[in-house]
Amino acid sequence: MPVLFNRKSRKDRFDALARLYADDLYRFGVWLCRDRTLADDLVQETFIRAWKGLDSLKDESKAKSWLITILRREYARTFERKVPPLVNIDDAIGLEQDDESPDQQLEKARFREHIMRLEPKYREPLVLQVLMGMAISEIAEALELTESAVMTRVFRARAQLKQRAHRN
Amino acid sequence: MDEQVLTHHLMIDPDPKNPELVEAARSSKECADALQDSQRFEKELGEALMLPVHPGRAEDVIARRQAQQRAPALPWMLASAAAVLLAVGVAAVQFLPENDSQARDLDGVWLHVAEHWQHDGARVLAASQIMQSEGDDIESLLAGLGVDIAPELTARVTLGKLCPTPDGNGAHLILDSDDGPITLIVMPGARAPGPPTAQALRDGQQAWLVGLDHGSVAVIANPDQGAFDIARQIRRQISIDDPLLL
Repeated sequence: MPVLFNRKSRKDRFDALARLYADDLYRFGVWLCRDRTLADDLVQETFIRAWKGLDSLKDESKAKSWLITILRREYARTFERKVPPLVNIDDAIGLEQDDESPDQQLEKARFREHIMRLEPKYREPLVLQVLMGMAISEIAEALELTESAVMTRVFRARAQLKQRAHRN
Repeated sequence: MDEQVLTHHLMIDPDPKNPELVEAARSSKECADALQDSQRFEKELGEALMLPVHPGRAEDVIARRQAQQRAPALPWMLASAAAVLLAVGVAAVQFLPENDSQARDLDGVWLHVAEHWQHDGARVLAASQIMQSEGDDIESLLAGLGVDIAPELTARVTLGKLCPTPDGNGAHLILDSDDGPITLIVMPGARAPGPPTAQALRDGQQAWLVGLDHGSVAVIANPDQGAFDIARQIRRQISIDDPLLL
């Protein structure tokens, strides 16, 4: 587990948080809102709020969940305002690294498209589990669901992905 | 654990270090195959979720935190003071803040404009070349912010998105012009003097800040794109509702 709290200053703790989680939060943001630009804004806004509220984070092990909760709240606020649909799925997925063959890139792009097409209620817990490495109990807490509901959702998410991959 | 139970478990929590799963895989070939399939799938899933990111996001976040901590007046603002004075003298009525508090507010708005542009200005501009927002979406976005915009200006907006501002949310718009796209950042509630005033941004772009009754708008463009004319017109073409009435 990353050590944040033996650092001396509030500033150092914040910078450590940013370095540890900014990229993964961004990825989570893209999978959440399917818009890279909006995800970027969400991450910036999340860290601004995290900076203001850093003293309320007492437990190091909760840092990731805490940031995710802030980001999800920010997204909910943004969503209330109705955001114009700026990008399609292809734009949100983005370009892959150059060292992959065209076939590998295509394969990955297809897989990402399947993930993007999952209903948000299935996609979100799956992303939290696989990308953010959260346990079922942590996901349940973050999404305010029961653990059995989370288990059902990640099960269905995987089942749908496998089904779609099989169809291709 | 038989294969069916194992498979069900792997669909919910496929932790490869789970000793129960490892033990089950040792117990039969079916279970071993199921575990192997699951690991292959999870690898593919994990790689797919790991979207490419641009380097330096954490440093952007840290820079923004540092900017929040800094005094409002920035060195780059001082460095460009001569250019600003010249621009203001030639093109606008000079603004003298009534008190220190207003000056600090104004510095804060300029700081936000500069950071906002640095954060995603070029990217949103580039995005406007490959995608467009619907007119209805633009109107909904602006209506949600209490921003009223003249139809002739709306017709020129090619892309719009919600964005953070010093006082909550605002709109980041790309405007079509004969000389190329121009960026508008509409900031309800962020105060600025009425007549357009200019700053040169780090990358050479020119930003004009226009004060409205209940907010302000920044117009950002290349120096040769005639942004001043647009900035002047904006005072007649955009109005922002009183936030207290929203």
